[in-house]
Amino acid sequence: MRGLIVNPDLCFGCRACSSVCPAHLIALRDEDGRRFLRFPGVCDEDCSRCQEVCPPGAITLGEVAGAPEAVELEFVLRRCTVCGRAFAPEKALAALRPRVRESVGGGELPWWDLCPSCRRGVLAGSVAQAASPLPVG
Amino acid sequence: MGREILLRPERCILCYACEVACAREHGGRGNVWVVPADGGGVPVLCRHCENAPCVAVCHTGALVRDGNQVRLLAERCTGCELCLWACPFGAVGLDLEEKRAYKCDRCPHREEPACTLTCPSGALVYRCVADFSAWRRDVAGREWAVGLERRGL
Repeated sequence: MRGLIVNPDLCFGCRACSSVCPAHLIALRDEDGRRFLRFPGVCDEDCSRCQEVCPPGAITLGEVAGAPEAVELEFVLRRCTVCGRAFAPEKALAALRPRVRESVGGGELPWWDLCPSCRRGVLAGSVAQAASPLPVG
Repeated sequence: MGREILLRPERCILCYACEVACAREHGGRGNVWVVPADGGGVPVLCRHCENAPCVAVCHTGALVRDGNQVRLLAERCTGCELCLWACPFGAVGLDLEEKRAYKCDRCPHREEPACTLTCPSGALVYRCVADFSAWRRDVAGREWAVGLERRGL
């Protein structure tokens, strides 16, 4: 029997595994500011896509004795500081932050606590303000 | 130098033509968001960053820096959502049905992107940065001169 073992310390609650699973065995749902990911204990499909794509490498597929039970992991979603929408698992944001900071050359990340829609709003606001026509003459 | 989609926000009339043109070009779901701001609008789309946070977090190589743009190779995308969380501008979307990210691709099948071709007020243009800057300076100078003339100076 082939088990699907997920390491709860590594998994940070992204959508990769549930998106790629051709048999739809990994279920993801967002509810009341929390994300729930449900993994089957056993997977006998001829496929290892979830293991290949998992960003933090939290999934291991391999022979196991018995039939491991399904596991459900729960993640707190960060709420956008502008609109209040729950948009991303806190744990994933914490894991990604150093890499994003490095990519932009350090410093604060003023957009980090905003959902994508409010990031567009902030960008639009600052662009519009900078573009206000100067008085002519 | 390659051309880029550049913006003259003071000219945006909030008509959403770029959104519609982009959606039509990409099978019904566009990569441009027109955001009302300060009485006008600002079309928000991927800025193809040089040091792109989305590329930094993409773990399958679906987002790659290529020349003067950031390409999204859809066949490598897992729909994990990390790029949406990384993008400072909210310029990446997630198609929950296709389970893939989407963003501006500058219409590679066209000579010029649909949004800049369609924009009726010249707010979105497709130009080289150097040309664009020279053009902006020229226009600003003319407008300034016209203003002085009108005031009889």
